[in-house]
Amino acid sequence: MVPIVRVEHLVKHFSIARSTKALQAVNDVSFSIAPGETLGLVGESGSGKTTVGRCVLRLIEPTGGRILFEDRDLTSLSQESLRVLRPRLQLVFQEPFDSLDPQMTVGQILAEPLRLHTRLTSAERRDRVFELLELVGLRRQLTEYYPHQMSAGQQQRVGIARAIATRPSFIVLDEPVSSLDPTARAEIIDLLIDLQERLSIAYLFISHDLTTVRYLSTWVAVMYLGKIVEMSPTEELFEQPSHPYTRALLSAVPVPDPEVKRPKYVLEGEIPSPINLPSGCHLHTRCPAAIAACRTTTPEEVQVGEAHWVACIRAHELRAQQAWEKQSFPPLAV
Amino acid sequence: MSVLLDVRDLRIEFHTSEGIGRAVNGIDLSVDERQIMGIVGESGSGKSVIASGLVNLVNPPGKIVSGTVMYRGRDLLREPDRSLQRIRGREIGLIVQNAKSALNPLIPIGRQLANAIRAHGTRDAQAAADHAILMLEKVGIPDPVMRLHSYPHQLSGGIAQRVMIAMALSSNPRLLIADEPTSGLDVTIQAQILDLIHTLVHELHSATFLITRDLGIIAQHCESIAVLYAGLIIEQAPVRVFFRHPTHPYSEALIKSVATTRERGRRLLPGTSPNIYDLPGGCPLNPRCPLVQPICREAMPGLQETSPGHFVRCHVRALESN
Repeated sequence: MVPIVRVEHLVKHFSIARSTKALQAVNDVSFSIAPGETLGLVGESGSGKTTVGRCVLRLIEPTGGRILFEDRDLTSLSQESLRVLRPRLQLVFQEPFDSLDPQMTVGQILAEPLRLHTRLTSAERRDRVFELLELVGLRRQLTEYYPHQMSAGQQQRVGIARAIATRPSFIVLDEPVSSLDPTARAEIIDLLIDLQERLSIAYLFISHDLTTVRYLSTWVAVMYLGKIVEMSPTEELFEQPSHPYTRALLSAVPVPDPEVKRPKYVLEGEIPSPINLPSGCHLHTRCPAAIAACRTTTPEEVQVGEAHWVACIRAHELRAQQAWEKQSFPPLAV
Repeated sequence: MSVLLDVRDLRIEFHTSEGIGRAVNGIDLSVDERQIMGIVGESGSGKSVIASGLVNLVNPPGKIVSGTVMYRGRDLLREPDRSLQRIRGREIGLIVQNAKSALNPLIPIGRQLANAIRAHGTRDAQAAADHAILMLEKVGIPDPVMRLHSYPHQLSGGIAQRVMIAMALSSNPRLLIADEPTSGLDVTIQAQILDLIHTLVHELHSATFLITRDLGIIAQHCESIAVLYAGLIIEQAPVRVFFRHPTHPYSEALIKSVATTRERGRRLLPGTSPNIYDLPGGCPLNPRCPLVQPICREAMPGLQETSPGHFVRCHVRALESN
């Protein structure tokens, strides 16, 4: 399929006051997303995933690279021509309450994008607001409510309704369920899947929660210190994580099943500062599989499976070893 | 194995202008030595209030209105303040959420830690300082001697959390109460901290209440689980039994909500947790429950043992198991 969004060699550096150094948040990130598909972008705090999301919508200016939306380069557009495209590119935020104006009713919140970006009459806008509420599973009566009168789950439904109001074809979801309780989280994830199937929207789903990423995404890209270290179709990534960082991330997620014990694969210490990036492979300071060459060689992307890329000089070797381990010590599962 | 802490009929209310908020409505809990007991619940289930109730630290307008918390022959809810203060910290350690806001921003962490150590027994300042370094090392903080002089704002969330844990464990407590000790931390750091609690519990023969909303943490780190809803335990069981046979409709929905493979039209619960100022009559889940029967609106179900050690508070499930 022809991708709807293509990100090519995206770079974002933030300058630091009274310093010649820069915070290198994103370094040469490339990916594409097809219509109606979801790319899950995972990584820990400081990996640069949120910065990628903001750059893709040009909410902040990238330092380098191109962002193609339906083959138009967003980085070269003026703010005015970007404004015309805005209705088709939307964003859902992490904190539902903070992202809704506390002084506006739900009806006003949902009518605003329609007022700004469409020529609907006020009666038509009202009908569309009702339609949107129905799409996200909320009662019509809620148009009169203020955000503080609703639960966090309902607030996030409003945030989603606002994002789809202008019929976007691409939405960046920045940790949309991280602040919710498990049952509300599952409901919102089901809603996002349902809307995607009905409206064929492409999602960039940014999250640190691997369980929801697995549930929602078609593809997964794993970021560490501003770079994508592994990218593959979702199930393949979870079945055969091939970058040491991905393996460590997966082994750290507590599985909600006491019968399954994941093999331990532990990274030492904490993520280094993106101001002083480690040489060679950025993971070498913490990687249990690091060899001398990792300190000096910047790893190229290696293809290890159909549509499965890994940025690790030992990728093939580690995969072979892992396959052997799996055979000799199958994971404990009932 | 012997019981270390035994809670009976704990009730905590909030008396405010909105009326009476019934946060905890008669909880029975106990934990054995060397056991990690998981308490799972969502926002508003009363889990954090219970944590403060266990050490008699409920702040107004919250009020403990009934119950006993027996710890080694003494009822912590009726113990005089002076002896309570000796027990808290020295024998019972509390780890709260958001370590950064729990630490004093004006005092370097080394001194805070040493102060805690001195408050709980060690008289000698030098010995306390040495012990502080040892504890920071134990919780895996690199360069502990250098870190002694850091202020809380200079620490990352993961390091601040570990300082809190070091403080809670510095007196080798018999009982640890950990309220969402890893919420807001990255998974790799979370794994390090949970492993640490695990090791220390088994090394020191203490017991832990681990309060969380993450079923994965319960499955991987606890021996038994209590599920809270609207200030009540609605299911309690050994962890393996619970995950194999979740019985209460709320527990079933909780487990479904953390599934990793897609299930079409999975049945989650509609609506949200009830308002503690306006609890529904009968079973608190009845407005959301897929199994609801007329009796559920009228009478509160009791906690019934459906198999050895497995307790469920549900009219419908209790009938089915008989």
